[in-house]
Amino acid sequence: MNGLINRRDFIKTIGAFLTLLVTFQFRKMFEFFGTGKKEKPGLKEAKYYSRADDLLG
Amino acid sequence: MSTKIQCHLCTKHCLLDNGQRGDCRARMNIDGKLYSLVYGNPCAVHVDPIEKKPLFHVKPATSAFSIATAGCNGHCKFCQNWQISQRPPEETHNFDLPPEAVVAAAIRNKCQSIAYTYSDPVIFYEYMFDTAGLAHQRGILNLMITAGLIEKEPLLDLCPLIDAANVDLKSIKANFYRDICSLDLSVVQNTIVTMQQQGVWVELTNLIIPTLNDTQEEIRELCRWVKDHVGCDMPLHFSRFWPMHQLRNLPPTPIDTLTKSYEIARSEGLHFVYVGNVPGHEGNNTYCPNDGKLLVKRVGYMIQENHIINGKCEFCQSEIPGIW
Repeated sequence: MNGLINRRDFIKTIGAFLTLLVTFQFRKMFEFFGTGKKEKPGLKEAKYYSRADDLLG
Repeated sequence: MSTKIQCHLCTKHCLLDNGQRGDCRARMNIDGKLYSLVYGNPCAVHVDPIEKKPLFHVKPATSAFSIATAGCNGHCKFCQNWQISQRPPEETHNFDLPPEAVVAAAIRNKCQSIAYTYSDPVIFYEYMFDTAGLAHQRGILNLMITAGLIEKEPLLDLCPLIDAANVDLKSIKANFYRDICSLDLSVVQNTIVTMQQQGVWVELTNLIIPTLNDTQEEIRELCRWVKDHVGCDMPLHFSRFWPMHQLRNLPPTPIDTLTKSYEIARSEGLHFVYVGNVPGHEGNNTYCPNDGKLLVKRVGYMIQENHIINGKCEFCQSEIPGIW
């Protein structure tokens, strides 16, 4: 490319832009999914159940 | 002292010995107490267009922050999410996302709603319940996408927190529900009616599967049930089946079958009938039940035109039911 835009600088600029875009997307993904590590299942006592001594019959 | 317990969240009423898991794979008896195994640990987290749920009469063109955990109390042979619904949580890749983090992420991603979806949120009830309460405090809507197998008491406790729901009405035949889905039609029908009575905005989805639930007589009977029990204003989405899970031997639903079902539903007097999974179909759109004008033109999940202004038809000012 002749004239005002230098080819090498143009490619560098595009490359930097794409790098930023990809990095941002990865950051968003990690933010989204936390660490991405496999976690232990989350235990919480359930709301609706009865114990055997409450059961009829 | 016995450590046997019985779960009362859904109508399966699983009777569990110590260490035994419920049919849903997501609840377990641990030393005489029942625990959810999936609280705060979703295995699916996405931002979806709200139309994908599908919900066509709720905040159109907005995003829903969508979560699901592993497990399900249904075992539909055609499940499109079987890789998470038919697995226990130790076989899925789960994330640490407690209720407050769900709400924060929804806000950060500019979502006006949180959808409890993909598997069946009945089985992650406690997680949904706590998240939904926080969501309401921040002005975020709660959407429940469910097959509807839930006991009445937990349903009544949950309804004040749920703004809208899409409930699968998979068939009008009890044997289909029992043999293909391991669910109970009468319970699902009661859930639909109860949710409407409790002020939840409800839309229905019927997945039409060739050879299993696709006869015109069955479609007509299903439409008549809807009209008679919940009225003509409840939206009904017909969805196209794709070979999946344990029904890979069946063909996709012919578009002609979907079109015929759409016409049957309209002829039975239902006001808002939709066809899903067929981009460009007339059934993607919303029409005014009063003057017949095109109100919302959709291509897939994208809205191209919207003539519903302040919840009314732009042309004749008739009220269009929904959450706008």
